[in-house]
Amino acid sequence: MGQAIISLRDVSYRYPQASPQRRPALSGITLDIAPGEYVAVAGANGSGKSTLVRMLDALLLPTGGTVSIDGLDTREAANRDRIRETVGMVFQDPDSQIVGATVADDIAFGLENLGLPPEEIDARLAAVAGRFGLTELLEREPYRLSGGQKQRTALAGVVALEPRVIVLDEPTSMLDPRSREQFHALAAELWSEGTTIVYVTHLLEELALAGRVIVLDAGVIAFDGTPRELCAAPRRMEALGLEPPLAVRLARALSRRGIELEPPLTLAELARSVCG
Amino acid sequence: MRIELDNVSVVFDTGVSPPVTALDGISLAVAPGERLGIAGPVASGKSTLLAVMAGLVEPTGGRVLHDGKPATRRHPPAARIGLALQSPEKCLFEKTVFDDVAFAPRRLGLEGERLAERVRQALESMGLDPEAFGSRSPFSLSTGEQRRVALAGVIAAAPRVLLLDEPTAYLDPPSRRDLLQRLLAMNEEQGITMVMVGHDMDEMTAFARRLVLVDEGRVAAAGEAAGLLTDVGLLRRHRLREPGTVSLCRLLEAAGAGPVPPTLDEERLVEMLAERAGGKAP
Ligand SMILES: Nc1ncnc2c1ncn2[C@@H]1O[C@H](COP(=O)(O)OP(=O)(O)OP(=O)(O)O)[C@@H](O)[C@H]1O
Ligand SMILES: Nc1ncnc2c1ncn2[C@@H]1O[C@H](COP(=O)(O)OP(=O)(O)OP(=O)(O)O)[C@@H](O)[C@H]1O
Ligand SMILES: [Mg+2]
Ligand SMILES: [Mg+2]
Repeated sequence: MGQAIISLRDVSYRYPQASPQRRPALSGITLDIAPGEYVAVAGANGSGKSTLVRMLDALLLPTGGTVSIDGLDTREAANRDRIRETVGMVFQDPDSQIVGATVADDIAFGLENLGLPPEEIDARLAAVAGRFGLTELLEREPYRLSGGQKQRTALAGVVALEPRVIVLDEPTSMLDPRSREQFHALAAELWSEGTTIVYVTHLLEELALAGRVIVLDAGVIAFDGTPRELCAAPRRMEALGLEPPLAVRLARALSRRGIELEPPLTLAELARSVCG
Repeated sequence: MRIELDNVSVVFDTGVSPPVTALDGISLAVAPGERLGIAGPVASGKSTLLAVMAGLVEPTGGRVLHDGKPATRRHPPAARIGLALQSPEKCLFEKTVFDDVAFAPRRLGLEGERLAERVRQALESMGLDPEAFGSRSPFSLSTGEQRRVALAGVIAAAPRVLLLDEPTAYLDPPSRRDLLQRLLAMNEEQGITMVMVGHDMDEMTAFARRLVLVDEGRVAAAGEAAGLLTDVGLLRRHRLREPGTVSLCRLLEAAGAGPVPPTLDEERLVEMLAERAGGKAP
């Protein structure tokens, strides 16, 4: 692995308002993510996923340990602008992301902050609007959109910035299945172009898209490996607040009947090994 | 309670751009005690439909009837209809989780130990330990935790009708499963009428007896859930995806297994796979 673009050393975080008896939201997190990796982050509600990813664009600063983005320590105020240019972040709640009075303003806002020339802003705005089905909505007020339309606006605003690292906190929670697939295709395209992706999700179909899965449990890293390795331990998954995918559950049921298959990750793999 | 929508339309005046027709002549009845699923693409009108059913949004055309009487904003049947909005965690506002969940029951006159018991049960039913969470601020929780508090608040009012807008979003998989089981139990044991909006057809398979597909503000298809959920072409035309079991049947056919009739039954699928794989049942 070359130099990590995201590097956490023994990171802990305690929310200032939290009562001292409660465990910290994160503790002892040591993690390196190389440029171009596609990492999914999973774990039960409250396990620390959003806290972890908010560390990556210096929105939260570690109360212990060090977070560096492309070698820059997030605690140094002088580094913040460069860190935020490197890392584009889509929040779990689109409402907390959207700032513009119209959809167009909202997407343009980040681009203007990058100091891009107006022609470039217009071109990128038109391109992402087309991609996210927002072309007809550009003059609408974001707060009067449907849930999925808001989420598309939030995604478009960050994708337009073309950040080197894109951090997505449950980015498809309000999308219909077709839109979700379209977003997966876009993420795969960005990845193939070298973008580093950190993708928080509860959805197994999304975990399976990543090269690497990190599972948090009560603020510590409980698993770090490939999606296939994770699914090979279905009981462990359940204990961590995950659910094995249908293909894994069916293969397990077959195994109980004495039929052993190559452990599948997807339904397509299961179908092939049953028919093969 | 019976909810009827008779040729209901909702047109939103957006001020800045042409008006948006969110619902376009929908007629639909929800029978007491039924379990109705609603699905459809982003922006198809699902949330507006639930808000109209609850009497929260007044239609610009057509009528909404609650037990045969016009539903109006002036007589909100608050106690009887519980509406969990699409992002219910936005509505949390009290200083503590306890007070937030207690809000509706208090308005209904509960107090003292009965109130505390109602809140405790509602929190537990959403997998939240009342001791650990009751005194915390709802603003110091993770999003999934907030979602559970908000749903607990809706359940705590003990409504006769529950309208749920994508309630499982942000919940972890075990909590999703628990919520669905809880809803089924409330429906089957207490006869509570349920309408759930969702994008996940595996969840709809577990939840819905009847399913309505909405697209562009109209009813695109309605019927017994099992029929619609095995109709791959129909689901895909409305940006949805078939349940996993149905998907596997198609993949088996594609892998050369011959005709595989779509099924929603995991047990049957296991039987069938066991036969194909040439194994013997124990
Ligand atoms: N307050 C509002 N003002 C103007 N337009 C609105 C308002 N609320 C919703 N709309 C529009 O009405 C249409 C239907 O919205 P609705 O929220 O009912 O869709 P939905 O099916 O729930 O979508 P989603 O799956 O994204 O939640 C959309 O085009 C939306 O932009
Ligand atoms: N503002 C806050 N103040 C105090 N504690 C907080 C705050 N936000 C979150 N927490 C706590 O920190 C822990 C981690 O929260 P976090 O939001 O990172 O979880 P998460 O894994 O993203 O969960 P979810 O799946 O529900 O989004 C939880 O125990 C939560 O209750
Ligand atoms: Mg979170
Ligand atoms: Mg909606």
